Amino acid sequence: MRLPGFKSVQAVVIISSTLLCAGVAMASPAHVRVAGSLQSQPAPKAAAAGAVKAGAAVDIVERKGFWVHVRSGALNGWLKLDRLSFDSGGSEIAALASGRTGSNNVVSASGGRGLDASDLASAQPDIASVSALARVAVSEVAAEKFAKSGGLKTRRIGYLQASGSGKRRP
Amino acid sequence: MKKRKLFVPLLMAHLIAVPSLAHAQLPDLDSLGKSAPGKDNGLGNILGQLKDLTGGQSAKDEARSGEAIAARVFGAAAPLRNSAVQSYVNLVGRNLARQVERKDVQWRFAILDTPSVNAMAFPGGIVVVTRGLYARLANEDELAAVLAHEIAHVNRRHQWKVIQQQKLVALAGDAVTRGDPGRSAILVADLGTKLIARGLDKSAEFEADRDGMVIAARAGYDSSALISVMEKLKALSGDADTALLFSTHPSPQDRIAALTAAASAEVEAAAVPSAAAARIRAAH
Repeated sequence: MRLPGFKSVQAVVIISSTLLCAGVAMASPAHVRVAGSLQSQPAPKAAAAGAVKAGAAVDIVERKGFWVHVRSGALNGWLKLDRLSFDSGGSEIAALASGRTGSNNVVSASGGRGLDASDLASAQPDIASVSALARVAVSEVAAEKFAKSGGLKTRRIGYLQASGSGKRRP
Repeated sequence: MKKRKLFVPLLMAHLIAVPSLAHAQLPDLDSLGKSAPGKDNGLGNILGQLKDLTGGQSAKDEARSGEAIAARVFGAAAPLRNSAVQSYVNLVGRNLARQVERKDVQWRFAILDTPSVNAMAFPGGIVVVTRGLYARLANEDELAAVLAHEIAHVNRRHQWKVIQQQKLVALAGDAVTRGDPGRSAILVADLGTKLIARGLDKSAEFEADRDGMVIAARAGYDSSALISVMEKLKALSGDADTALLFSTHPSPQDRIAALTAAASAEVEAAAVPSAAAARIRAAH
């Protein structure tokens, strides 16, 4: 009588710890690289939602543009991407970033010959393929029409400097 | 005569000693010319030839050299035989190119039929994306992010400047090739193909990331789409198909951090999916 009961308790413990591990693995751990405030929204002028110290471990909930939604204990808010360092490969963020995952499946990714340094070194020139590029090239007018048909609206944005100042460059 | 013999190796040593081959570190040609001991020392002629290349004739030379380099690459991986996809990529790419300053470029875009994950730009405006990378792009915003990075390389002549500098070094010690246009063209194609295998300076890659992000945002695309692409590359780290890309570029994590740190308020405001995002599927 006792033995089966013990077994079922043990099974529950094993199942729950497995679920717990899976939960931890999916939470995308990262560390805070630069201390500072958390924002309540993914915007620089949003209200503060507490502060995080450098080195603090956080879990990533999702990414939106240049911002990451993180949780750390009771803290819950948004940080700029460059304030974090990622513990694992970071591939989990891609899965968490809503609507940005997957592939287009228009053409297969695998099969055929590779293109690495040794392939380049031994390649014989294929001039005909270069000439053929002109056949599918399009005019600026056609491209502009295509952009408009897709609902794309141009923006006036200046080039950027390397630093984090966000200053414009001529 | 003694001066002349001595100076050419000195110039070569100077050029070789330049720690980086990115355009930002290129020696200023005018100041080099001024420091030369006398104008008729042979060196002046070489500098003169190089200056000609950066003048009116340069766009044609650049295009011809780019085609020679592209021919070598196509010998290893030819353009995909799918005119619908090729036309689509040309429309997206050509529209992005409207957002850059250079107008002396004949833009041509292609998907290369190889599982390798990479994208490349050749001097003069040929831009390629491999099938391995293209198939992993989720939407037109991500395709635009990749193409805009390559367009930025052409716009700033990153590859062309390195090739010209290396050509100057090679020709300084090789009078035979210097006097033979056919040999010079082969030399340039060799240098360009080796540059693809070796990669640009990291600062040039970071610059193309920042410029590309701006170019894509100017055209109406999601400015953060390059970050999505970087996340995909990161997940492919260690995959044989990404070997060349990883050996010639900074790590995806460093690129994400640099892009985020550089983003201005107007770039951040453009971090929203574009109206055309879903269109990539229409390329069947």
